[in-house]
Amino acid sequence: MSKMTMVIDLDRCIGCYACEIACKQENDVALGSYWNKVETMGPYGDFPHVEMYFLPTMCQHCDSPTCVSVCPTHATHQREEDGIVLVDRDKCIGCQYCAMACPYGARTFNKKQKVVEKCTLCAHLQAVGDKPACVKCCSGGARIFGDADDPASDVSKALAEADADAIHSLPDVGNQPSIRYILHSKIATWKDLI
Amino acid sequence: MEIQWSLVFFAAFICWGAGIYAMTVVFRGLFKAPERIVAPAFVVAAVTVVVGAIASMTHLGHIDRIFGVLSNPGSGIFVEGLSAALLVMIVIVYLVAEARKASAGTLRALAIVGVVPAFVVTFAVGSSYLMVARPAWNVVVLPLVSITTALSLGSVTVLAIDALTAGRAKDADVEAPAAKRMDAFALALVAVHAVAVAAYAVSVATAPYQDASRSAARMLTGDMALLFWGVVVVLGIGAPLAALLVRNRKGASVALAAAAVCMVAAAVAFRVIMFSLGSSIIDFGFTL
Repeated sequence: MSKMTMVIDLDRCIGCYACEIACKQENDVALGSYWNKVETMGPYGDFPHVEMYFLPTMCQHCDSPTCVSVCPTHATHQREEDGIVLVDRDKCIGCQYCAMACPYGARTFNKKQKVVEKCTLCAHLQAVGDKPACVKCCSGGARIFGDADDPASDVSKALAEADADAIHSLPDVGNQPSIRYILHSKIATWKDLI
Repeated sequence: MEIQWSLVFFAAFICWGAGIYAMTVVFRGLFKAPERIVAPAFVVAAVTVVVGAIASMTHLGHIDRIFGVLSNPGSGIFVEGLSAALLVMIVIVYLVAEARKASAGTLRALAIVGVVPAFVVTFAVGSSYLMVARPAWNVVVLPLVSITTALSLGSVTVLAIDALTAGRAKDADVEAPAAKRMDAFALALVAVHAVAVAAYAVSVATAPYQDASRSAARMLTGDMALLFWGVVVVLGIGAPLAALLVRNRKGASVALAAAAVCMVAAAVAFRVIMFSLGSSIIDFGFTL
């Protein structure tokens, strides 16, 4: 059993948006939709004491995904072998309940195919031993991918090296998001989103 | 979030149809409502539920895969679909049994059994939206409002059917006391519905993760205020109260029918408000 996930080191993110573009190219994401979106947080404070950072957002591949339980056809499911949350397009009836149940609005409805889509952590690339497109293209090396259950993985090492108070996640309303963000206070102060 | 019109009409028509069915059974069982209202009321109920079901189908991207819902009996769509289908089937069986002169006991038993799916589908169109991601939906009052909408709207519609078919009454003097008791019961149900709507406003105001997009102020004094006060309150509560109070005067059937239509508009408006307030705790805008 493993838990494939991502750690995003915001200390390193320069806000180039390359991950957004790589994701759209790799996954043929429809015009106007995203599976991966970089938010600009700030600037906060009064000049000259201002700070800002970039927050790449995506499906958080939650440990207790609310989208899975509401799906009437099990199209949205959590893969047993690695914990990734995926959508089986052939089973999706396009009811969009999963999109309603996502606390982050991280799902998008493909109007052409009439199914719900989202980040797959590039499962098709993982299947051939590759990494997600956003990880491969990240010029700052901010995106780290691997098995959170493996202490020797890149993600586990990155988290072990970071200060405990520099490790953050999106708000948890019972869904237990798996993506972790690293942001040390010397770069910027993490802003709670709710 | 965007208003999902298909689901708005689905919920409104399901509440309407299930409410008509349930209140027909209740009025017949508790107050000896005249038998002449049962068949027309059941037909209207079934047609209304079918209209609601068709509305929900237009929401789906792939209706061709609908039988996939059988794989997850715990999902809201499965419960809604199954209970709505059962309700319509029971109405059909009832009408066939009645045409074949089935015994009164058989008909009564069939009618009572149908109350179960009527209640379940009404509850489900509210409980399906209990999602922690959307604080303005994740309140237990939401399914309660579905039920009170169904009961109040159903009772007024049944009374309208009663008034519209009064010309076929066998003995108006015998029916008069029953009509009065049904009026009083319907008035009480409208009052309960008013309390439920008020409770929803309080629940929204006290829900966690407050935000302007899903605030009670938006509903009570903001851009949703006209819909809330003008349609949900005045048309959905005021109109039936007025119609029930003029019940014994001339033109009562028209007033009750008009009140039922007003209440349907209010049920639609309530769902429009619900969807408008249904922002997720965080929305990164993945779809423009």
